[in-house]
Amino acid sequence: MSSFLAYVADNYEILIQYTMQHLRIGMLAVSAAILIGMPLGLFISRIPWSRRPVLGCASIMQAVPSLALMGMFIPLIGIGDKTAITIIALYAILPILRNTYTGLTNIDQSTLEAARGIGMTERQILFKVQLPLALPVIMAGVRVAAVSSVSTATLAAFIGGGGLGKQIQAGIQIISTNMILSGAIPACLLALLMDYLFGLIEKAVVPISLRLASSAIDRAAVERMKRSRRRTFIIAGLVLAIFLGSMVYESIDWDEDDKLVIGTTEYIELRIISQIYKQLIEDRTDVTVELNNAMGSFLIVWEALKADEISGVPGYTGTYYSTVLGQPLYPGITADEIYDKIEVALEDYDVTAAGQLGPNNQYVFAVKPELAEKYGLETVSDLQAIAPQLTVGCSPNFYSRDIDGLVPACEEYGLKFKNALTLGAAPMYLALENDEIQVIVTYKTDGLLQKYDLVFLEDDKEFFPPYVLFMMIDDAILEEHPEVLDACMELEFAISDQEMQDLNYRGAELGEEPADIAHDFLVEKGLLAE
Amino acid sequence: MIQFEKVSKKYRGTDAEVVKDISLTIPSGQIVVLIGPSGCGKTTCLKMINRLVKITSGRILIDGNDIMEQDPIKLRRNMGYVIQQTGLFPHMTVRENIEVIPRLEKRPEEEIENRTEELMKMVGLDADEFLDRYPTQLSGGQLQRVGVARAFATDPDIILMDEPFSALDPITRSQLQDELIFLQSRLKKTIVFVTHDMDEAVKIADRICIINGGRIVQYDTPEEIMKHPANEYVADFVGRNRIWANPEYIRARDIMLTDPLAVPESLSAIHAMEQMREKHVTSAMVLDEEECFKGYVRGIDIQRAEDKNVAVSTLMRQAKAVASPEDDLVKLLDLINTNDAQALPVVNQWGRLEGLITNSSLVTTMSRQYIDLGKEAAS
Repeated sequence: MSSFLAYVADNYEILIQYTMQHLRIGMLAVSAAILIGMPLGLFISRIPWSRRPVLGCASIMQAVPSLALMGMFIPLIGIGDKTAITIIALYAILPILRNTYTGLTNIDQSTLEAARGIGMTERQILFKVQLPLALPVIMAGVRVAAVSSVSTATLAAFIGGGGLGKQIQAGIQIISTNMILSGAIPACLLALLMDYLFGLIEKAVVPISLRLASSAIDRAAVERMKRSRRRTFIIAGLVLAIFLGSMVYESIDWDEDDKLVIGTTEYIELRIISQIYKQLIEDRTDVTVELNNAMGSFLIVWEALKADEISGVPGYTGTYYSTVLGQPLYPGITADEIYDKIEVALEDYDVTAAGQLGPNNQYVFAVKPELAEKYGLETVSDLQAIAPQLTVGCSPNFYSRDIDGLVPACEEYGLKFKNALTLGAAPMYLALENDEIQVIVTYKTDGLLQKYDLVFLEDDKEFFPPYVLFMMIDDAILEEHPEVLDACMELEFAISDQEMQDLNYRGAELGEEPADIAHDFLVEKGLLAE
Repeated sequence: MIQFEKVSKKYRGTDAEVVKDISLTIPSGQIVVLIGPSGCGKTTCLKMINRLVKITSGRILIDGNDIMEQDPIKLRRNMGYVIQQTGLFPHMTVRENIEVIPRLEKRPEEEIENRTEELMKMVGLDADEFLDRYPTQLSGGQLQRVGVARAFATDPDIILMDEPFSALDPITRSQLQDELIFLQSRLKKTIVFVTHDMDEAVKIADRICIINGGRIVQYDTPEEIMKHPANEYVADFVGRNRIWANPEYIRARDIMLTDPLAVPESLSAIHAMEQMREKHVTSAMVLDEEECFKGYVRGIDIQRAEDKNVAVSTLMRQAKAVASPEDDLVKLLDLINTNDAQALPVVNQWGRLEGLITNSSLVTTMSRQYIDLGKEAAS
């Protein structure tokens, strides 16, 4: 507990920043959903035949898994907050739409008929009768939408957006309970706060006459309620104004010339590497480098690079060679061969390969030393005999690769495991520790390997292709700033596998900031002055 | 004056006409009740007047102007509209409800306030007590009073009332009916009133329009409808005994004996006696040469007379009371009771004898309701 408080005290600035981003994403999404959902609800309440298709579409939208929706939207509108806001808004539309429709149509028909009969125009009926009576129901929908939007705003981090999701993901990455909690608790509090605030508004819009038992309404009570209602509206208005103001303020410094955005997944190794590039490029050139280290997967990163959402990407040769560029991997292919082919293939995308860094983060089978000792395991082939008694764990990514993934690897080595589980990096180590799995497939430079002191099994059939870290830079940047490429090339083969593992260990296990790790490294290498 | 000219209504998607070729004139300053079974088209007719329902064919004129040529909003604001469920806005106070339209029309503040107070007085609600209340705090009767007040807010010439009192308990309903009649006697609005309650119709209507299957079956005064139903349907609908619930519609002319024995005053007593014997009656009416009623002569008086050849005029007695043909049953009973009369000659405005009401004819008349009731119950 005290360590948690200490962590929060040390990092409150970033936490506040994330919280504000989080709120902004959630609220912008709700605002968009209100702007779409309410008029749409009004529309379907007026045009009966449109009700089914519109509500149907909204329901389907709700049913699509959010991750899939993200994947669908990134090619269309890129990555970052705006995509996250769009997707969250799509989810928030349904409750608002449905409640607007219900609120407007559940009004006593005789009330509406009377309104029409005494000569109110349709517009007057809408604003003076229908909306006041429907508002409590509509606001209940908005409340649901607001709470769920603020909760799902966590997902924004998956696609390069901001918010508390970033903190949570980083925490999961290095199994830091403090980091996870410092993201999750504010996210949770924000959702509760939204619930409370919108609850107040919801209460304030309920017509006074419908709030209390009729006997309890006397003139004084009515006056009191009217006053508290006014107060609520003023406060809500102020909050909204501050909010919009802060958004306008933020939007002002959004665009900046000479900016290089490096995008990566939240993987700690890439976060450190991108910091190394950032600090070196900023030192060597006038270009400002911004990092986006919380994108959902390398495919999202790639889409973003293609869409010019980001302009610099550190990646692994094996990944880009096979999965992204669709080139055939074959056992025995060398790192340089792959890199050369990538360099050529990237030209089609107006992207320049900016040098290999050195560490070969290829996949590797690893086991606990006790197990290795007991069965004399040295190579992957040694696993063959005992595989049926073992459960293997790997990342979902590795599990599903069809050329160099788990299935082809097992085929190559004739391994028949008892079971195979897909796990995130950190949980995988925990599962291994708890003996829920006995074999893992991990990356050679994974920092957590140091902590658990695992034994690598040699890839004796040279099945796994090399996964060498390399850099990609968008040509548009290089045209303006060719010096960026020079800076990148300074890092060519600057890091060894062991060094990378050390850096990763500091990040993943010791919880040091990637920025600090990168700085220390660059200074140590003499690339940066103290 | 509201005129329906061959008005028909067919709802979209259905073949059946809800209202078929209705022509109807609703005179100014009268309460006209549209009545009929549910689904007969009476409410549709009402709602066509303020264009809540679109006319399919034909036209409706108000004071000679086709309503379709008028702005529907303006049209409606010049008509009060009261509906069964009151249609009050639950989120507005009584005051706000009443003032909705005047405020939308941006009438002067002072005028609105004065008018509202006036209206509250008119519908018998205490302004100070009720104006700031919400509809949920009012009883059904109070709600409908507010509904009526709202309908009068713009001082329209025409008020449309769609079963306004149907949901109320009988006592409140009766009160509101009485008040409506009283209001109408002062304000003389043109009121179109839809109901399915014949008692209500007979009580408040100047004219009743019976509608069935989208057509007008009969359009007449309550009395005529009760006495001379246009057909079996009306008779059944009105109820054959309806008249007994409204004795004021039973007139002397309806129940009198139309051929009482009448003799000229110059006739000799003996001859008069002879005629009485023939007719098995105990008295005869005496008329003068102009056939005007003079009095009556009793058989027993002739028997007692020594000279039976004198003219009947000498033995004639003055009637204790006479009735006019238009006197209703209540009046007749009253005349008989206060004058201790055995019979009432019915004499028209020119003094001519039209008929005779005897105790026995009254008993016969009044007993008929029980006989009819019995018949109805049996059938």
